[in-house]
Amino acid sequence: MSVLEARAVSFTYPDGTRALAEVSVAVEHGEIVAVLGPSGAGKSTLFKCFAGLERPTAGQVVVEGTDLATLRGKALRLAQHRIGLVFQEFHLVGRASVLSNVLVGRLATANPVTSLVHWMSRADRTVAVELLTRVGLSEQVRKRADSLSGGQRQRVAVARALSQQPELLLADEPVANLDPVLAAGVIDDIVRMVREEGLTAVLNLHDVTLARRVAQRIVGMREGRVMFDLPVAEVTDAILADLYANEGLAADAAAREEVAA
Amino acid sequence: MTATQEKTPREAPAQASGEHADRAAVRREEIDRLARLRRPSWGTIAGAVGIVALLGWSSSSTGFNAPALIAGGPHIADFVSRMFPPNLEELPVAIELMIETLGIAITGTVFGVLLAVPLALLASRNIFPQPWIRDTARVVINVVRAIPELMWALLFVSAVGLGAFAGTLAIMVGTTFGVARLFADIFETADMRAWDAAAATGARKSQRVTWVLLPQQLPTMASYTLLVLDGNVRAASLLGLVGAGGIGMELNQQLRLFEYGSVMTIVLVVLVVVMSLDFVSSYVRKRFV
Repeated sequence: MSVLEARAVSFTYPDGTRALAEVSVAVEHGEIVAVLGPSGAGKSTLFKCFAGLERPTAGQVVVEGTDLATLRGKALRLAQHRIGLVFQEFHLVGRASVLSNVLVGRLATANPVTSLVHWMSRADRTVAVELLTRVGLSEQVRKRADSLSGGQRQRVAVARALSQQPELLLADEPVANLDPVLAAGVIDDIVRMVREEGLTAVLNLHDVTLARRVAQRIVGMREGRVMFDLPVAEVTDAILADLYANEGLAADAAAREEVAA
Repeated sequence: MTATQEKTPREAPAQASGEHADRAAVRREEIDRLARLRRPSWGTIAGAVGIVALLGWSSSSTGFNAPALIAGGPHIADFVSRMFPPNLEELPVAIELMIETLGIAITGTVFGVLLAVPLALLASRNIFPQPWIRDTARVVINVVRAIPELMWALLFVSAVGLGAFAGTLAIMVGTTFGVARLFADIFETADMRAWDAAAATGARKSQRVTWVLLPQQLPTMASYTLLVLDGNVRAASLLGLVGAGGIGMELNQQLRLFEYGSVMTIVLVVLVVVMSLDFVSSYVRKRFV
């Protein structure tokens, strides 16, 4: 059984923009999949549908055998708890401490009353601090999140997602706001943690080099459709050039490949 | 227009300079037109007349007249002069009652603000998207907020009797509904990205309030609370007029006894406390935001 499956998912925004047209993708347990494509390809919309943040206009998103759209209340919350999310703009509470931001990922299973006054169990706190240590932020645990650099903030967000002890990690352009050197470091950290935890991950990326480096499989999207879905070894420069054709990005992507090689 | 469109490339320069002069003239005309003084629109004139009429009506209904004010000048001077020197024997009483006044204001503000938070959450569209919840909360807040604190004081004096407790309740109710409105507006302008991310982890709404919303908004809320405390000290100084405790009761009594020296002492104590509070709160607020 696939961990995550999109079955002929279509999505049309209220203004009539068709973002996804019958997208079908299946992600198996333990896979790391990169989704590539020019801006406007529908990657972010697919991420939202996978995460349950948007409901497909047609088709189904099935996570661990369950269609999120059929769930309500507590069942929905617990299903969402099984999916860790990482966003392009971090989405942290800037004024709160790094630790408190990570503990947010433990709230769904914490005591609903005592957690209101930030009273979290020793076990929860240990999970959070341990994850922060593993992403190299043991010195920053008590600092305010908005005092950190961009790369550090995204690591906090990754720790928050992993503190949910999820089955699946979804990331939407997690390093688009970071400079290339930092970006590679953050992506490597994400992938290392995903492997260590034995998770399944789907990463939306815009950087072909990064995608090739970390993913086992690449899904190419364009204009709301899946153009290709191949193991990374089979994704040739020609296929990528085709994906970005007329976007002025093909040259960019090729150039970056040369530099990397 | 058709002529210019049909022109051949060779003719173009000659025509262009003529066209240039034409365009410059048009532009000058346009500048002149825009720079001219504009006649006020009929709407503006009507508005101005309306405001003058309103002022005339309201001043006549209050019996406002300048000659009486000027004629009364000596009386005012006499009244003020009799307030000097301040009666220092009154000082211990004034200080004691000012402390009670501060107690009323602080207790009322703290409990009022605590009660305002849940009410404000109900009135925030981004926390409770259901229109019936938000609209009901907003209507309740706006109706209760329209009742002045002095009226609440009168109501509570008849409910719980004369004294500081009635005053504290009056301040508390006034604060709850006044501040709920402010807090609701603060919550509605919050950045919801971290809130949405927390929702996606499966955290409950109540948990998202204490872990995301409140930490983000606390400095702004604290700043408004200090501002409200300022106002509440002033309000609490007057509550004594209706028997709801504080320094106002003593002020009223001394006025009736024509003890203007004592009145001056009381006024000075209020002045010093309100001004220092204002100073401290604006200093602290600057550090918050």
